[in-house]
Amino acid sequence: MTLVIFLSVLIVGILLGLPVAFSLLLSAMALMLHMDMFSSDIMAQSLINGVNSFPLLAIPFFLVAGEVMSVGGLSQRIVRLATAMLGHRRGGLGYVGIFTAVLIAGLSGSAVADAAALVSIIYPMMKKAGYPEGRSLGLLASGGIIAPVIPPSLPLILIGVAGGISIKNLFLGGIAPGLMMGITLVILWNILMRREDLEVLPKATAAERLTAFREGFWALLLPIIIIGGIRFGVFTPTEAAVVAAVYAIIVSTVIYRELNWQRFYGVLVSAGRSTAMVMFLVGCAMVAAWLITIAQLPQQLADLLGPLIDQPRLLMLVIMIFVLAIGMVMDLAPTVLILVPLLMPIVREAEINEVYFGLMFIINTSIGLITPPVGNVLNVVCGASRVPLSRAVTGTAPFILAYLMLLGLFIAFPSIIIIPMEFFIGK
Amino acid sequence: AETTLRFAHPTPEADIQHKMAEFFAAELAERSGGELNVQIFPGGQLGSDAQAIDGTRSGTIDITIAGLNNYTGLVPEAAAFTLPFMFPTRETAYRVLDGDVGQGVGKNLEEFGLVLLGYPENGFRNMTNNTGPIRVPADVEGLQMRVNNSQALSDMFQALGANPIQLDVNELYTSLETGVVNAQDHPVPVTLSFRFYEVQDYLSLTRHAYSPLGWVMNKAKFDKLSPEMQSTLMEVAAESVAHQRGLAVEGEDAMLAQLSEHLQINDDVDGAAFQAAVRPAWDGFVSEHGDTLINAILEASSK
Amino acid sequence: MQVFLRKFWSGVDAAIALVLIVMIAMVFANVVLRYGFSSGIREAIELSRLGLVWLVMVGAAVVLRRSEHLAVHEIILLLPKPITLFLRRLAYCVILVSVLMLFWGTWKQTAANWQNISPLTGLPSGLFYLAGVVSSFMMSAIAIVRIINPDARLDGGIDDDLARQEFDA
Ligand code: NA
Ligand code: NA
Repeated sequence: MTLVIFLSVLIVGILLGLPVAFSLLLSAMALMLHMDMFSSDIMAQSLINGVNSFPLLAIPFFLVAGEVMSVGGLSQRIVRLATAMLGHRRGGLGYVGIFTAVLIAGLSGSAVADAAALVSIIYPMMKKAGYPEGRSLGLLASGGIIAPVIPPSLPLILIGVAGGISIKNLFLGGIAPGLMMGITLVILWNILMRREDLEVLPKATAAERLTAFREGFWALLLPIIIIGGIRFGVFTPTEAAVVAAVYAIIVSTVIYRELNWQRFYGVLVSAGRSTAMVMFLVGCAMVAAWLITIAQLPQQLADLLGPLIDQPRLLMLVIMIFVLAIGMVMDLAPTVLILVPLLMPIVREAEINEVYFGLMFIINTSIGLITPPVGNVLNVVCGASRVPLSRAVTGTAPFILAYLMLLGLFIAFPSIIIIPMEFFIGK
Repeated sequence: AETTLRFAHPTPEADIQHKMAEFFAAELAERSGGELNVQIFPGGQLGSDAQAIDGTRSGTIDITIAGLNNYTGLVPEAAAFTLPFMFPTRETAYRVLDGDVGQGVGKNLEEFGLVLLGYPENGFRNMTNNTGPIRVPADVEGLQMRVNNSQALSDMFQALGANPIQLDVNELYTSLETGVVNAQDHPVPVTLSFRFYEVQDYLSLTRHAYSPLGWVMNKAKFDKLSPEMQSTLMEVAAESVAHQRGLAVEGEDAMLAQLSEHLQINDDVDGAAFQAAVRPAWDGFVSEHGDTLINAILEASSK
Repeated sequence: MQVFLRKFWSGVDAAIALVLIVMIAMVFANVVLRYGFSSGIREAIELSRLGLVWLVMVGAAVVLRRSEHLAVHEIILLLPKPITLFLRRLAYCVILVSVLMLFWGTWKQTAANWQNISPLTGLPSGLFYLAGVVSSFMMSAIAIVRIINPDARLDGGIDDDLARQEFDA
């Protein structure tokens, strides 16, 4: 009953044109009335504390970095280089996007922050080159959710803590499925672009490529600084975002000389607004999540799973469908925090590999980040690109489908994840 | 009339805080004849420590538990209990916290809408690092030491010549793994449940600060209970605290055994040398809050 | 009135830019200090979180003014014009109710946490909730105006014209 109330109010609100953030507050208020605990304190505490998070600081910083890169000439030089290398291929910028997504997944653990970086850097280039709006955003959003799967990853840390699973093993186990997600995108992009009539550039000469490389050198150094900085412990993932912003500011003012005060001011205001839009929504989702927790809705559902303990694969399938349903309407962190402690006893009893389960859970909830009605990566992608939600939703659909097929493959053959995991762990 | 109490706590279900919550819930249901039901929300499901305390003050949550350092904004003097080398043993800490000094600080929480149910514990904070066992203060010098929001602990590591680095606890594991920091301090249960042992090589039992928990209830909700129920609840709470402390002591040996499979444990620490070296951390507290409470603690400790 | 509104909102924009640049400077300085000077700004984490909360809450009001909160408009645009107008008014009524609730809640929490002093920064933790008070005050004013006239622009700015067109397109 609680889920029905929550979902129907949320969906009706959204369909009638109420902004998603306020639809979440409306459904939270409906739950409050239903449970006879109408309280402004709940709204104030959950919303403000939902926003009050250090790891989420990476969002404004990466948004600034991305906008400075596009206003200050870094992006243009990367696109020139990428075009020189891959432009003669059909849909080349898409492969640049996927490659960058996998690269950037090794930078931080936040899908939202990474999608923001991807979209603010690569989307303008794709748009300029005439790529279809929805598909491009769909690809970049789907690339963004590789971030929580490939280490370092905040969600993997979260699930390790909530479920008592080794974080190190989760990290090592995440590499293979993360790369497989990237390969899935490459295959699908190839299929999708076959039907698109995009202009294909003449193949660049070696001299042209060298020039493009020399011009793009300072811009190319950025991912290396970030990856190296995190890998070798110079700074934390959140700090990496700020280093990226400062580096981009310095290169575009001192070296490329394309960023002036007026433009920089514009970047700050615009990044501030995008941050506000995305994170106000996170805060509103936290209000709804708090009430769902109090209603103890997940517990009731977990009780239903008991009879499936003898059939681990079937159990896994049922859990994954259930998690997918919850992940569609809830943010990743509360889904992990609420469901994992409840599911872990069943998972252990059914003798499902814990690390495998943890990775599957994170891949699944990450897919939830790009599904409507509540998908924070989808939101940030729309916010950073200023493309309407509906167009991004339809553009993302084939990628979601491909990811779900991959997830199905992992359910049918757990060893696809477990064997490389044991290789990396060194068993 | 039946009353349901919402009890939020920050730790995973494997932690002894959850075991205490379960003990409290079961005993209270039985001894109140089913009148008081406790609904437990583990793992910080209802929000961070700060949010849970705000929630308990305003009554959206009925009961919560959090490290005492989370209350020092409301009752600054409570920081005295977490000063480095304040308590030589657990027993001393129990005596002071359960006695007039600890209950006096608890009483001060009432003006913020909270009733203190007791001081369960996380044990002593111990250091872990990657460079070598810590035996004398000089071993701390030059460490990239992650510190929490406690002014005194930050002062202490500064005084010992480490480089104190403020990091959000969410980023600590990764930072230890990649080497942004190479040392941290937490009580044994936290080092275990957050799996810091996977990315640290040495655990030195420095026991440099006692880590009490503040267990509180919404005052309005408490006042609404009949006097009989109130005393039943306080009785069960006291037993739960004793039960939790028992589990903590008992559990620590088991946890250390578990940890010893992953890192080297060093119990050879020159406590007296450390105590002398960290004096500046006390001075900071005294200059801000006076030495009345410190003296009261020292007096009660010596009894 | 137009002049006042224009000055007010460009002042808010300037404040957002300022908070963001201070956050960047603070977190970056912390990294530099760690390596260059083996020290750091103790207050940096807490202050940057405070900056983030203010940025998000005040920014949310700006986003509401610019009608840029994520929403699905496609369906109501298919309906007859009077119904669309009614639904837009209804949406602002819902927004008004929720921000009034947020206002009341954050007001109480600000008061309750004004004596809750952070040991590191010496600032009351009520400052976090105060961002919600300011933001929901601004948002309720916007909602009231838009219930009366859903097309009210509330800015008088010029550059906003472009952004809105881009968004509506
Ligand atoms: Na990652
Ligand atoms: Na979703």
